[in-house]
Amino acid sequence: MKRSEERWLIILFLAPTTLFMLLLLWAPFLQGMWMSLHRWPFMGEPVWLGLRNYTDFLGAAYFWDAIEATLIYSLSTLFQLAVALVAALALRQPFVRFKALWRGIMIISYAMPPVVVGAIWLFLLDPGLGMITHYLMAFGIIEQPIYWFAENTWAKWMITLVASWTFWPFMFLIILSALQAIPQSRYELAEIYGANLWQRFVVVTLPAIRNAILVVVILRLAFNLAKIEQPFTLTGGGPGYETSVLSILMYRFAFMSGDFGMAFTVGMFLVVMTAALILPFAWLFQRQVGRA
Amino acid sequence: MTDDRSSPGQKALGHGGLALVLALVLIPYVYVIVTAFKPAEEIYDATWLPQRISFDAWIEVFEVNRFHLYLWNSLVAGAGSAALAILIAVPGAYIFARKEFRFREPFFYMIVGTLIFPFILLIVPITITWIRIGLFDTFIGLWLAFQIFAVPYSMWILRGYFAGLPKNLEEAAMVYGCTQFQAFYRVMLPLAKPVIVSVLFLAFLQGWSDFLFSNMLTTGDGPRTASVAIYASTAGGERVDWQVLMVMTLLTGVPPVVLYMLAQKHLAKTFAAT
Amino acid sequence: MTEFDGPQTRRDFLKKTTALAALGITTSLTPDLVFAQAKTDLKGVTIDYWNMIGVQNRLVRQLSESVVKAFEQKTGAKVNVTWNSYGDIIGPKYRTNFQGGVKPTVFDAFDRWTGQLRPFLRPMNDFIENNLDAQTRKGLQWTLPLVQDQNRGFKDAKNICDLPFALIPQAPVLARRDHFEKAGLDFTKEFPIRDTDHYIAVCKEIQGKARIQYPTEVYGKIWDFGDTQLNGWIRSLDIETSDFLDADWTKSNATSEAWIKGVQFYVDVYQKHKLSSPNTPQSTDEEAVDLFIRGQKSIVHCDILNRGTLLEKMKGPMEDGTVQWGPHFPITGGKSGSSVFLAMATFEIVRQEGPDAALKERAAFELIKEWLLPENQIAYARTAGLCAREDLFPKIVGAPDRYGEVGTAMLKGAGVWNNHPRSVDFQYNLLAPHGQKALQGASVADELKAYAEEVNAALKT
Repeated sequence: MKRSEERWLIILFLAPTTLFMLLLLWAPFLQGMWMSLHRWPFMGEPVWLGLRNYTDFLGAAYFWDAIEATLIYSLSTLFQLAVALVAALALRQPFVRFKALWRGIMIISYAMPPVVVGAIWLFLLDPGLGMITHYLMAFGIIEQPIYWFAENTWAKWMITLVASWTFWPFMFLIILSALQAIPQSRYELAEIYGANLWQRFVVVTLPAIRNAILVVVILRLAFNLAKIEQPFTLTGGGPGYETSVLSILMYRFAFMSGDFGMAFTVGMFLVVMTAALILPFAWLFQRQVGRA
Repeated sequence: MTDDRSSPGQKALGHGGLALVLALVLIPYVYVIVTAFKPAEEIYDATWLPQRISFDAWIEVFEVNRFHLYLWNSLVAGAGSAALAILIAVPGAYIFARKEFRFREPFFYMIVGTLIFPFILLIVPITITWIRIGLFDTFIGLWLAFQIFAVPYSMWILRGYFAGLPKNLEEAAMVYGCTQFQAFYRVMLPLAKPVIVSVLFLAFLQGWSDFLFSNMLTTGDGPRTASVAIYASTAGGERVDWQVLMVMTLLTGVPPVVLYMLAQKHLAKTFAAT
Repeated sequence: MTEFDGPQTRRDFLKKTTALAALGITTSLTPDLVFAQAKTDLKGVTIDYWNMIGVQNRLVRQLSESVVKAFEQKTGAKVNVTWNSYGDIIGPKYRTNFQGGVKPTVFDAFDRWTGQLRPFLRPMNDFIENNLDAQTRKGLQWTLPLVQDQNRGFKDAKNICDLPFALIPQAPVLARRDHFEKAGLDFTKEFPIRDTDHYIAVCKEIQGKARIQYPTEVYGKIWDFGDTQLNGWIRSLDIETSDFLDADWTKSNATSEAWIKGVQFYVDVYQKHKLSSPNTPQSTDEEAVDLFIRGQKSIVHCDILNRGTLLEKMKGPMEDGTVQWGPHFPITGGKSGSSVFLAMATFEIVRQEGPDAALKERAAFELIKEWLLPENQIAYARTAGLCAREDLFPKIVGAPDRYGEVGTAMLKGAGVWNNHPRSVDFQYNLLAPHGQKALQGASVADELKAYAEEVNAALKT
């Protein structure tokens, strides 16, 4: 009686998730894998190519540019973590006033549409017209304007930094929550044992938020690598292919060249690369959870 | 806060860190605010105070662009998407957290693994399917599409929380005569309130600021959201009308901030260490 | 989202049209028409209009709203207007929506972006023949061979699926008289620019004597590299190979001598002559215009579409002759006789199905006709550029900045770009990375060869 009731509950409760997952995610994804083995024009007949798209992409002149740009772009996750940690730790301190207000302000950049954030940074950073260049020069920090998006070395880092500015509050939200759950008494206890500021961070704070950090790093790695808004508005993938991260290439193949076979091929590289970057953190997370 | 015994060093660090991050967030934002009040001819003057305060852009945003309608659409799109995420993810996550069945772990990884799918490519098949089955240009269509990024991570967060609740709660409830379903509904669900509010909030934010899906799945007289309207009316053509863009951006940034201030205390309970 | 929904008052009407009225611009929407009883020819017919061109410019947007309202009042039909962005037609939105079956009745676009949608479009030849008054037809006649030419690769090239209503000759030159004078140059003698040697010489004078660090700009960003002045320079060397594709759309022209020389000159302005800013690989004409307004540039190429911004931000100099337009100019030695590509803003009617298809298509054409009325054509010209009707050109000359004179003078012999279904890919997406590399110092011939190979491969599929 109880067994069958439980079985029904399991089936009933898993149904929405399963249905959703199969129809909206796995079916189109598997179809995409199939498409990557074809020349698949937007409005036309597919032609079987086998692995040609893959070998073409591996052999393309811009392949390594794209990989390098994607790796640098993935560091956005690290920058986001740094800012989110500083902000969350500061807002955990008992002596900071107006916390509710500061917390609200922190998430503004995440609340604005990312396309628009890109456009605003383009405006602020414009070498001739933007206020950032203006003040850097006015304060004598630089002598000549920096051409953030036209210089190869800068462009990759700029799309990474602007993406970091846009998305860090997601990490902040979760890390702060984890911090707030630490009872004040633990800090007091540590203090009684003579722990200094750094020791208290290592002994009390870090273990309590380690899980939260792993969760946000994994989530943001997955999200960040798929984001196209910033590179698209800031550089369009250029100069040359310097800022053509995989997601941008994917977008361009699919929506500008109408070549869905190639787009999904790039997509598969993106999936593999994202998985490879996430794997160490997922492993740490599993170990952590297993231990608890 | 009365018995604050923090050392001066800790205070300096705390305030310094806060100031640094606030500067990082606020300086661009204040400039957005200033620009929103600048007359057109002063847009590129790198001044903090306009010579003449102009409300032209504000008037245009409401009178000509009727931006409030789009903000409302965003609200509906975000809220519905959040609610749907809960409906889809909570029952599933509960089962994955607290019931034993065959292939549970691989099955779960098949769901969370979809986090890394190249979802921008899914947009074409989804658009065409939505048009065929009548979901195009409807809120329901948007809500469903947003689940592509809302459900996988919601499942993960929810499952973690359910798994962390005390063991044998359901059994105890059933001893008192609850059915399996009642145990979930009466005992587990109230306990899960913080995590549900958190997931609602995170899913809302994604629906609120999404551009790609909202743009593809709506037309002008349908549920077009604010982020699409901003782009189409200010930046999507020959030139960018900066003042108007800034006003719209400001207006779009505020509602989630207010919601966050409301949801904050629940978030704090969700991500406590396991 | 039309602006005149609901009960009307005279005050509302006046408020909504103030910005146009403030500039003394009138449209076919007269107060009398607004408050008259609506006519009923097309009562009960509803059409969808996807409006893209000019919707980011509040004046053009108001003009568009007035035209739609006037049309509704005159016919009794109802129009649902949707504002879209360029990205929607360049990117996936239009294509995907059309393919799925979500289509407007009528839309506006640029002439060379509609090839991808051609199977969905309804030819307008019969409408042009029978439903257009003689005067309007005569005024537009000259554009029709151009439309046919740019669709030459289609089997049904004779069908007119794109009807021009506005023109964007690319790209005139905007110059600041004050900078010329500061450099000791006689503006009346040195402007308009005659050819590229003259251009370089004048820019160098200004750079040296008027202390303008980068007096001009060539553009590298994806949307502007092959879309502003470059193609005109190529065309000045050879008309035959100046378009992106050859005559029958079988291969890229980019390896031709004219292309190599044209792009090389483009690169030289930046690399060799140092007259264009270090931002060049990512610069845009919009940015250059703003720098021009702030007095940091002296001679820039830009579309007449920017005129609205110029009038808003530097009304004085535009009206006292300090700022003037000049026509685009050939590369020195280029004897082809034309150095202009003409982009046209066009209307398209989407093939309708069902019992009221004919009625809807006719309503769509009636809306286009409203746009083609003299007052609306002139209103468009005064807010954003050139109207398409030749017979109205005399009405748009005489402004102090001479945009009408310059713009219409540039039309003679102007070329048009192909409307291949993948033109967006060829003109922007595939070209830009190679163009940018060339600007950064890579070999022009090599980059163009690589670009041509990509295009040729795409053409084969």
